[in-house]
Amino acid sequence: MMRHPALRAFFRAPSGWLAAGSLGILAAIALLAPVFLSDAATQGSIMRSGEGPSADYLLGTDNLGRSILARLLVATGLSLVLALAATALAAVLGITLGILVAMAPGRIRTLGLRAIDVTLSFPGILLAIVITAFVGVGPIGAVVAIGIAYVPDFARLSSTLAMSVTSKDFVAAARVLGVPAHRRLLRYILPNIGDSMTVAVFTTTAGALISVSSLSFLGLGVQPPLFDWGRMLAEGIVNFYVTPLAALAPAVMIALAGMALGFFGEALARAMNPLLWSIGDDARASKATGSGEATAAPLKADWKEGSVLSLRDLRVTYPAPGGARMAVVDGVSLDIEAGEIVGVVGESGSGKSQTALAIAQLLASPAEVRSTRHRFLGDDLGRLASEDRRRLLGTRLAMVFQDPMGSLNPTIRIGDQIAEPLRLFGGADREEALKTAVERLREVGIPAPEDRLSAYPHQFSGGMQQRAMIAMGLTNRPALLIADEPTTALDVTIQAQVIDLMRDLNREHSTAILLITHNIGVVASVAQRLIVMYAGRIVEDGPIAAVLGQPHHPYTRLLLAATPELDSDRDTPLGAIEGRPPSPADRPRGCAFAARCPHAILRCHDEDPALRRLGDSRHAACHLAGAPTLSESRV
Amino acid sequence: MTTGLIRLLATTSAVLAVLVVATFLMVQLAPGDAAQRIGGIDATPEQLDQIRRDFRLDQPMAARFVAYVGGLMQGDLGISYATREPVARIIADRLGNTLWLAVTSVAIMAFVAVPLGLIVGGLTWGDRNRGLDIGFVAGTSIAASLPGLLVATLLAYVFAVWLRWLPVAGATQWTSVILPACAIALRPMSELARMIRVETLNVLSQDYVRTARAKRMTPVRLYTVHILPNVLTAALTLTGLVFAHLIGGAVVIENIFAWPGLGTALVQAVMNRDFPVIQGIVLMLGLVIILVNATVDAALIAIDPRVARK
Repeated sequence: MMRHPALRAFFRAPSGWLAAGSLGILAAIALLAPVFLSDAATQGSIMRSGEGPSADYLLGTDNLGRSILARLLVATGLSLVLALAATALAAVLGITLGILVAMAPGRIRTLGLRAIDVTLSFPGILLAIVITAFVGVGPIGAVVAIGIAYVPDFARLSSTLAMSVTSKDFVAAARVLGVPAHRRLLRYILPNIGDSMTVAVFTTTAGALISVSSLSFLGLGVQPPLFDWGRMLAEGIVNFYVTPLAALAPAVMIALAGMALGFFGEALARAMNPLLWSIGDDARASKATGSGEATAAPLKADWKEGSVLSLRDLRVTYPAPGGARMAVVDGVSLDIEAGEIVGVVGESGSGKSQTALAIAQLLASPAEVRSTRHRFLGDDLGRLASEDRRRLLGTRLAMVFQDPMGSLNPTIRIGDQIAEPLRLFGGADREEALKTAVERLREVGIPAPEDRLSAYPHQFSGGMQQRAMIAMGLTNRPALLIADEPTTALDVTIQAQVIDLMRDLNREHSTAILLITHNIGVVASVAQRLIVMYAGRIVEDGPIAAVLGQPHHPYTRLLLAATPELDSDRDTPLGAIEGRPPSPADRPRGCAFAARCPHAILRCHDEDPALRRLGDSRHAACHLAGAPTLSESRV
Repeated sequence: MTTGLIRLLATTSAVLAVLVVATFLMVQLAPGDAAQRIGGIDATPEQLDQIRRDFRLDQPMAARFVAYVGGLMQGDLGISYATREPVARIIADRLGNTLWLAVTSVAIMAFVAVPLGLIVGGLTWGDRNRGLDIGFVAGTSIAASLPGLLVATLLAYVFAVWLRWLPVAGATQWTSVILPACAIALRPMSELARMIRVETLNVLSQDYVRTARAKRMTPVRLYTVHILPNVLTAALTLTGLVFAHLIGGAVVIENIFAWPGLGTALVQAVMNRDFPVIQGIVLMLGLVIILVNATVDAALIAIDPRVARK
């Protein structure tokens, strides 16, 4: 039907149809009403003044007995013409001024932009009212006044747009090549800002209509015997108690016409921007294929004493296009014991962070979290009353995130942020809590902690911020610290310090730590156990030395090969794993890693390998794990 | 922070200077013979000469400018062409009414828009409650595009003509301020509520909110202590624009409700071409706008460590 995508975009939302239709009707009224209705609009019978709506007069009559409806329709033309004229004046002056400012040399440009900004903070209608004192009261005066009042709006928009064009390479090149200013303007700048300016013209016309009507209402615009909607409102409001429709009707017309113009401008913006053409068109085109049922076997049969966390068959899903849900974590089971440091590695997108957030119950809609067991310190989090759960997680579980700058609240002092957990659950007053904060800051090795309490986060270096985050996590002496990429945003020497700090804390307070990272080197130095995740599942799990010494899963091998070591031969090329993990919305049949696996056999593409037990507390999800072909071959 | 404040002081002074020069030129360039306007239609040539001497109309522009600034320092804004009253007294009689109206509007605006934007932001975050999302955006867009003229007329119709709860015009009782203040506040309120919601969504996606959630505080504390200050800091940068709309709305809407403020006086003065009064009112409203903007900027510098650092 409608071939051009721009047209399609314009009419996609109902507002596009509505706006185009309303403007069409308004234009027809503007042209036809004066021809057929001007008598009815200007001549009335004083005998029939102030009547309510009737068959003769659909909207009743005004105080001179004239049909309100006829006057309303006849006034359409003048109201719209004045608004359009004012906008045209504003556009011509404003765009010229804006482009002149944008093309001016540095200092003049800065000054010009600043001046435009300052003018914008003065209300346009105030400016317009003052201008009418000079140009005179009447329709022409109103057009000039409103036109001038809107100049800063156009100047601001056009200068911003023009500057974004002039800063582009091709315009800079043209200037260097000596293309004169007026040629640059015509060839490069105007065509590139034309679209946005057209849209602005329509939205501004809506504003101009209201402004011109306001001037007429105030008695500074259209003068009798001429009348526009604003003038009708002014005349109607005098007899507001008697004939409220005489004032209400024009006010409603001003609002409706203004909205139609505004919606038209928005629909036009959609049509003019090719980037917005296809939105909403192919929402249903890509259909997600849901992943198969979770197949991972439980790691340990039962929960046992001394366990900090026991998690079974965790699934985290998000809505996928087409209404289905895709699993970003798909059947993860995990146990952490007191004082244990467990490392989780995997590429980005492997589901490590989602697992961490799900453990901490920090995922919210649209994420959906399910598990068959989620025990923390022996308590079933699913069964706990919400207040108890809040207290348990608030005091016994803490988190440290990747980006310490972003993870600290910029408007709250460091001391208060660290002291907050104590005040939330410990019932401590601010002074006591701040004392503990000083202790914690000292524990994490921040010098002169007393002086740092009143600092804001941005006054700390990246390493200090991460120490503060860890101090904050430790305020309540948690049983489990979940550290999600705690060193990734830091430079190498600081990384080592933060890792040492976590190891010390683990030793002194036997805090269990779940350390999530994509860097095997970081885990190797502290963790006792290593979990490797791929495409939302655990693919290998075991004591760190065993896994690093003899990985069972080909993915683990490739990850290890991709990790540079200080003593590795510099001539050996750095291994990178070819290909990318499958999208959770489009998980293949069989093993998710098969497509990238150097050892994949037919079975791998067909049958999804379950996580199976391979010797002492080791597991891997690979058909070939333990088979001689894999252990002998080198990656 | 100190350098930020000094720079702010410099720009504010520059804008103030421009305002003083512009209002001075406004009267100087006004059409018509000022002496004739002051003296009236039947003034004799001798009287006109006397007026020219008294008002320094016979002196060069520079001397008149010095006299103008000197007068401003002593609160002398000249005299009205129409009533021969001192402009300063006309303004003094009405400034209080306009400020009272503006303050009431700001209070209504803030008390509705901030909680509304914050709550809707919290409820619609992460694509939840799509219906509420669409309803809020549609409702605020419509409210923001309704002309003050319509809002004022509708409010007057419903509450004054139909229900007869509130007075329709004037400033005769304390309830008189309610209708005009609501009519003025609606548009800036919708704009502010949308800004607050957008900023709330933005703040909610920040890592420090995740940190705060990890501390398991109550939602009330999360929103008031951790989210609101960041939202307000961000929204504050746009307050200047919202305030401009508010003052502009006040000038028009005062006239609908016959509110005895600067807006009605301004329109009256424009009809009479009473330039000294126009000059005084523009100067006064300009001053208020400049001071509000400067206060907002100063507050931004004081509140937000990130802004101060820039």
